[in-house]
Amino acid sequence: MSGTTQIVVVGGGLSGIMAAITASRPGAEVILIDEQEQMGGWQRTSIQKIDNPPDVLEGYRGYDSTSYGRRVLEQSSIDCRNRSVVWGLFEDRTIAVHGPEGAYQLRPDKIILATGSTEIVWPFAGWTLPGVMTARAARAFMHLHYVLPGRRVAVIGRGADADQLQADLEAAGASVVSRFQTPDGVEAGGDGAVEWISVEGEREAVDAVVLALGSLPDPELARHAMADLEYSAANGCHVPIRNAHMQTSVEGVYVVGDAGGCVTAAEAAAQGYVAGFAATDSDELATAMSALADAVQARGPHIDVGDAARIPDEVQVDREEQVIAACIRDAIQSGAVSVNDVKRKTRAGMGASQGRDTEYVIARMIRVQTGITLDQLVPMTARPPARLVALADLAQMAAAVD
Amino acid sequence: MRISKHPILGVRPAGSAVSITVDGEPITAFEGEPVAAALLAAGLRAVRTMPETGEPRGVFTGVGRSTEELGTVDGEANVQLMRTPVRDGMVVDTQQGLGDWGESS
Ligand SMILES: Cc1cc2nc3c(=O)[nH]c(=O)nc-3n(C[C@H](O)[C@H](O)[C@H](O)COP(=O)(O)OP(=O)(O)OC[C@H]3O[C@@H](n4cnc5c(N)ncnc54)[C@H](O)[C@@H]3O)c2cc1C
Repeated sequence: MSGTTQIVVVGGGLSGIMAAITASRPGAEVILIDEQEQMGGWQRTSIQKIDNPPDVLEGYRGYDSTSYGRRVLEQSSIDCRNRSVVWGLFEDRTIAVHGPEGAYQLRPDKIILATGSTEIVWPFAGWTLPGVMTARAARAFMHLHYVLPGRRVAVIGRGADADQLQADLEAAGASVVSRFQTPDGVEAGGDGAVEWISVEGEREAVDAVVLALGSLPDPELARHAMADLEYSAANGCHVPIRNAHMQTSVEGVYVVGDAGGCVTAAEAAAQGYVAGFAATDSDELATAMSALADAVQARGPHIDVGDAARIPDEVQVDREEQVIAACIRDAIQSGAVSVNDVKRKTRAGMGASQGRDTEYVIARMIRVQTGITLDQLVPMTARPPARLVALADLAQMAAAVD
Repeated sequence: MRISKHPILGVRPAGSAVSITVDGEPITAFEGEPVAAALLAAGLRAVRTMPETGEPRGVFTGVGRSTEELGTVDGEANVQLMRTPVRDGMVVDTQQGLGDWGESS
């Protein structure tokens, strides 16, 4: 190929920033796209020191590390596009973007997907009430906007992330009045918004409930591109199959960072270097770097956040489409054996979040009722749009693709 | 509920206080903050009701991806409240169901 190589990096978290900077060399034109108003990824909302960070971020707190990343980007020739959503990845590496300038498409030579993770959510009685939110929503309110999610807060979740969230809430001035390890058996209630929470007994008055249940890799765009997937026991879901250079089964499409399977900050950065080199045909450097990215710490298998058998029948599993557990159980009873089947029969997973939030729960409901293990379950088909898009944008895209 | 001084982040960078109207009542907000943050700061946790069931909903995942975080702003329905910055004089309405599509173009 003559001329320049065009590379689009989707996602401006740690791994996407590192990939973009690495790929930004003579002969390459790099565009970095992120839907948030600033680059930095989820770390932008973190106030903790990064444990075992990549060397360049030693001693930084999450939000500091992202301002460091933004300074580096400013000095580079990378074309940074914020408030820009990539909502589809089509054949021939065609990317559909919606940004401040409107809807448009790109057809780069290489695509590096660094779209990070999504939060695990799990249904329980009362979880749709206003005032119930995820850890990332709570951190965005506190650390980006200086707003407290509530004064008396309940936290649901186990492990270091949930402990850190509790510490973050307390630092911001909230009282954490209840802490539950799992959502199993939890009931929340209130008139118009959450007012109390209980587990088999006494009600505790609260004005917010925060779910800190961990994250799942978000390779949705790789799934649009029909990249081959494999089940990952460490993540509890399917992830794209990649070679040592982070390339998926689709030529020219790479996946790095949490998007391909949850990793540490150092690993997310290293994978960014690998793909950045590989995408610019510097295979030797990519191979040298892949030794770093490979030093994956042994992680135990993913532990389910809740027991699917204990979700009450009348509770909505899909909050957007308002599909209750009983309805999903009926669909499985009458023969649904995959998340796609359940979606067709019940509409669960058809909302704007395209089943991203419900797939984890529904997969486990199927396992409980049918005995089909998660690794044998056919992964859900991911279809564009990955985000809410106006019909006019879809029409324009369809016209251009035809 | 605003955080007046955070032990690590310190005080909020100075912003200009403006007034917006929410369901007919004035509230004070900071120019440029997401509408959803202004509502929560004013103690307003519900931002919309759902179609059919009429259930109230508030910000859940906060990343501006779901239909639960939509509201009606200056007459336009289905606006992402986590993504829309506050402007002085803005009129915000708790969205009822799918919103009034007649008014948006
Ligand atoms: C709660 C938590 C605590 C952690 N603590 C530690 C720790 O102490 N030490 C450590 O080593 N590691 C830690 N990690 C892991 C490490 O921080 C992550 O692996 C790393 O930050 C992931 O970076 P990323 O670039 O892959 O993803 P992210 O930082 O999530 O960035 C992804 C970006 O992609 C954007 N995006 C996604 N989809 C689209 C789209 N369709 N269009 C446009 N933009 C899109 C998002 O807006 C986001 O900015 C932690 C992770 C979490 C979640």
